[in-house]
Amino acid sequence: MRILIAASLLIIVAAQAARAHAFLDHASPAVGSRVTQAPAVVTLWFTQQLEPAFSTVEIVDGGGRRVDLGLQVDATDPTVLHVAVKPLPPGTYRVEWRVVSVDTHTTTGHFIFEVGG
Amino acid sequence: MQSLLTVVRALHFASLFALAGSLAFMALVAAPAFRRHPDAAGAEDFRRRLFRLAWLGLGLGVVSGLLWLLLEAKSMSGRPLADAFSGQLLGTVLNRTHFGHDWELRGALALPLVLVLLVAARRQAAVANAALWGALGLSAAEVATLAGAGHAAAGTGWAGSLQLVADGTHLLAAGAWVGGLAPLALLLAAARRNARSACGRAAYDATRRFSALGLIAVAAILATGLVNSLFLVGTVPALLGTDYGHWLMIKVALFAVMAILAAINRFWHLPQLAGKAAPAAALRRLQRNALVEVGLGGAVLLVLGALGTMPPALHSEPRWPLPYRLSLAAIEASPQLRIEALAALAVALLGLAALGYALVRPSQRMALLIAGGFIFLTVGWWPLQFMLVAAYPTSFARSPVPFAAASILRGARVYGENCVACHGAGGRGDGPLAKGLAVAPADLTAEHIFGHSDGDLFWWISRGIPTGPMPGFAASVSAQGRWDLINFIRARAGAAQPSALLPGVTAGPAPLAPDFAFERGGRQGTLREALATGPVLLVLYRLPGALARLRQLAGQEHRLAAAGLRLLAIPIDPAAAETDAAGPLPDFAASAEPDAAAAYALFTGGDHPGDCEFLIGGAGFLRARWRDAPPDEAALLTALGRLAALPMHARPAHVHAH
Ligand code: HEC
Ligand SMILES: [Cu+2]
Repeated sequence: MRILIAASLLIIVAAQAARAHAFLDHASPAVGSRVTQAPAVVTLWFTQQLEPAFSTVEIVDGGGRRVDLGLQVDATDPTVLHVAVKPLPPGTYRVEWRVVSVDTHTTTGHFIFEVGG
Repeated sequence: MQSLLTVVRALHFASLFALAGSLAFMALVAAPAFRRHPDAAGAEDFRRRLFRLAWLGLGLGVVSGLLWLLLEAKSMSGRPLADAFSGQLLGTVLNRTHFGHDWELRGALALPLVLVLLVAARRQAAVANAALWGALGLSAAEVATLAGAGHAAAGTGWAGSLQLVADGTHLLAAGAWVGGLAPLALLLAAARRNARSACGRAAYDATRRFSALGLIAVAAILATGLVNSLFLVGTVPALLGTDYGHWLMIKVALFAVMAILAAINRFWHLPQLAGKAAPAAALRRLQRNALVEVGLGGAVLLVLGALGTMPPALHSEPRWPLPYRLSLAAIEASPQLRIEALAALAVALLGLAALGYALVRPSQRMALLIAGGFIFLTVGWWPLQFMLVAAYPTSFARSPVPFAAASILRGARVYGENCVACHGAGGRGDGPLAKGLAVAPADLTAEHIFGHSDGDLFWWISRGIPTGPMPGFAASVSAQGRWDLINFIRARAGAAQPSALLPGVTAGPAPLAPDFAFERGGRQGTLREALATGPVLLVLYRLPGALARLRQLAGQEHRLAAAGLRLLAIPIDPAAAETDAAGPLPDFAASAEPDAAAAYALFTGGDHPGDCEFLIGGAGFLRARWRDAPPDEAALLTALGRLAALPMHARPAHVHAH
């Protein structure tokens, strides 16, 4: 029984080591969170290496105006994207991402965060 | 678009398989066979046809490769296909993506391949032979690099390398076998045309060699296919409950039929060719089977083309198709059941052994078959019945909503609006309506909540429990709201466990710490990120009373950090914290999202307004809590030591059946 459990655990561990199709793992500001201090950079961690040439992140404020300034892949970790943003007044911001993973697959998603006063 | 990509991918794979497969067949199978039978008529003719097949594969490979590049450029950029013809977009794909680099490598290999193929096809003897091996090596490289254009490319670290190697080997073995089937059919056709010469003998020799090659290839395909499936599917629910898993099973079934046909060829039809003259009927059947296998191989490649465009099963929501699932919980919980199950397993294996014996030993085969089958089925069923628990389509669904403070608070609101009447404000199953119900509402703070998967809870909350008054909320509460509810129920039940939240680390089950975002020294982070570097002491403080404690911790911070403990302090009342701050706070004091303190109120105990400190293990569980007397440095170090000594299993499985 132990062996069985150990084996199934191994499968789960091994399976999690591999990723295909990039999904958002987490972000800063955190998905759905409210922060008091406006961030200068929004960072997105994905589950897989990305093709920066075809990955885009758009950030808009409550009125639909773009507030993102430019996108950069992390220098050491190709699964991380940094998006510089204009100074953000209090409000709700929507982050729309479309990324292509190194196995050519496109995934999209969005989340919001709030900057509180 | 997706289906076009599927077809083009399949065509590209098929072309390269045909190219590499016919060269492999030439070098490893046909040439040695014809060397042994130099008087076989039709050898030269066969050779010409085989090279024609290789050229066809190469030509189609180039065309489908170009199409593939265009379609990927369109798909990756999200722009219309017309844009893909612009040099700029193609340049970006080729120069700045993994797929492009891999594609360029194949393109670069194609040029020398054309040259050696020209030499191999034209010249005679030694030069041609060397060129043939060169062409085989280059075409094998073309096939192996296809691994870099699929899901395997996405792996990282040792696992990624293993996946790439496995996928490359898988493709090479498949190319040698599937790509060799059409040449085999060609050779058998040649043997039928030249039935009277030694060509039949050569065909016999070649088919035997090809069977041996096929056996090795099938073994390699099975082994590497298993590795690939572990990486891309990983679990039984993912196999049975996702599109990817279903297509994979279709692919394996097609492959199994191919392997069975190959076995029939090897063990049934081939021996009939062993005689002096090749019987025409056996040759015809061999050829027909080879052609059927070619067709099946084409179907496998179409499935493969489709699989490559799908999200792997591991990343899809599995829909469990069966009303039951296996669960080890019952067996794990009771030592006696465990012994009985092991005994039953041993007897069942004995039955299985009897079955196997009956197959190899014909004497008394019937009696052994029946007895063995009976023992296996009856005794084998016995432990199984304790492991079968009811399951639902969503049983293995993973929550898309992380266990975080904001979600828990949203869940609390939804709970207040929909569930209090029956389950009670505290969740103990004692709401105002509870008395009048035929089945008592479940106590949602009891331990059994942790015996149910997120997916099971989601199903009940969505669809209700048909045997009692528990209603379904799919129509009135959004899917996210239902996942929020589960996060809330789990948080509250975790806090309610008697063994949880003691002022010191124990081995008992511990509640999971809700994630939250915070901001410290202008930088943002989350609890989860902070935990990535090890255990965290989370301090919920209220000023000005807590100032002394924060200063005390600041004095210990250095030594605690050396022992592996990080500090994180957040205010219970964020608004008051700003006005009350008398002087600078230590740098481990952060401002958190407002929901954080509110969600952690579940764990401080609602009646406790004061400071509270939690020791959170690196795995994210709330391992200890101090409310009235904060721990001194020695107590913290002891707790850290206990934490490090805890077994990996955070929470034992619980038995619970409905
Ligand atoms: C009309 C009364 C009623 C309402 C309203 C109600 N429940 Fe229930 N619930 C029950 C009863 C009764 C059971 C026990 C059913 C059984 O065991 O057959 C139950 C069982 C459950 C269970 C299964 C627990 C277990 O482990 O066995 C969960 C989970 C649950 N309810 C969650 C909720 C949630 C969440 C809500 C609000 C969205 C809710 N219920 C609203 C009556 C109710
Ligand atoms: Cu239950």
